[in-house]
Amino acid sequence: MKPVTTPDEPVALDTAFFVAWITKAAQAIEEHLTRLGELDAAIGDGDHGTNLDRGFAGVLRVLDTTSPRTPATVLALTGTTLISKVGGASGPLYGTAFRRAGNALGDAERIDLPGLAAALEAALAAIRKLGAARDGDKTMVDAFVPAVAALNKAAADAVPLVAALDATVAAAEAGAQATIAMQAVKGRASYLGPRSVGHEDPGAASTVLILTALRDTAREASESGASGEPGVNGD
Amino acid sequence: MTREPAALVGATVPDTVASPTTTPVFPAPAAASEPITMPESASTLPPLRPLVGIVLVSHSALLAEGAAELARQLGGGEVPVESAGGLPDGGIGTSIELIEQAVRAADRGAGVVVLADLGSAVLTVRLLLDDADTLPDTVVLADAPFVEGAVSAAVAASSGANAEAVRTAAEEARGFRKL
Repeated sequence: MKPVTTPDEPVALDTAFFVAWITKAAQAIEEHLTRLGELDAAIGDGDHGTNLDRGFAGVLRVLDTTSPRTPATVLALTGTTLISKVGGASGPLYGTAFRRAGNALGDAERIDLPGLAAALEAALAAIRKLGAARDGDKTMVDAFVPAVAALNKAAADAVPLVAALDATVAAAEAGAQATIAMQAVKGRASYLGPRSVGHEDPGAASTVLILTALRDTAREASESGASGEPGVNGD
Repeated sequence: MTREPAALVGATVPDTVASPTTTPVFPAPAAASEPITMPESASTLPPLRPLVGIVLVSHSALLAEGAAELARQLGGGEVPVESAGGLPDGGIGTSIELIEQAVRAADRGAGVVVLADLGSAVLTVRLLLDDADTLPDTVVLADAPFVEGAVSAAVAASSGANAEAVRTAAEEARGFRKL
């Protein structure tokens, strides 16, 4: 459909790409602030949207005033800022997820698909360890697990980036939808017991938004073919 | 009658027989000017060991500080008890900066036991303990009820217990029955 300049990887997963992803994720959180708040109000304390939005707004300020040199640095700054700015449970959870994902990327200036899959795998492991949530507990883990599985499979099958991330997002969406039927055993929603059934978990919903932002960033970069230019991140 | 305490004698016997001024309840030392000598061992005692500090983390600044006030009082006033409640702007939530500050303030060199109320307070403390290399060596999180655990920890800390024993005391508070 479009000319592919290199046989394996048309989109460069470089620092600019990761800045673009996080920027798009911040925009998505802001756009869906009301929906996330409503999902959270049904079973939680209603602050998931505003908390995450405050966190990502802080992330954008940090990325705007620093010039991260590697993808890992972008994710580390994102995680650290979310931890200090969010103020709810999603802060430490997403914060540690981004930081561990950044650690997994190492010093590489360009990441390949298996590297990206390994980073998301590390993020999931960090969320599981910190939150001690199991599959089916009606948390962000329930969106993350199928997403990571789909991305790992796509990477193993050498599926092109955008198609791999399409599969990742579809799996995350299905996982988030599956939380509707689940009963919460973590967080405020767990106090509702059976009454938590029938609502999508807001953490699973925000995980879908963040992964969708990743896919959309890849798609736009793939369509424009313009990713990888140094200095895209606003300096 | 002879074994009756002096105070009662003074109160029931007419002044003309025995007055409080002539039979003091607590007689002064015979020679007050005599220098008081301490036993030999007192000067060779080791310096007082620092007490374990306690940090109370809540979504609410009022709740954290209220529990801290109670724990300080029941801990006898010597135990460093710090609160880390809410967000820096006063809102409800958890702030990793406030928790870190409180841990530093509560640390006297004997370690710090942290109690957290719910959800993100617990997660944030766990994250801080997992990640921070800069915190004092002995900082532990107790899996304890917030108020009862704080009081139990403060009492244990006031006795000079180490951080692990203070954490155990806090966690054992879960078993206290009220009725």
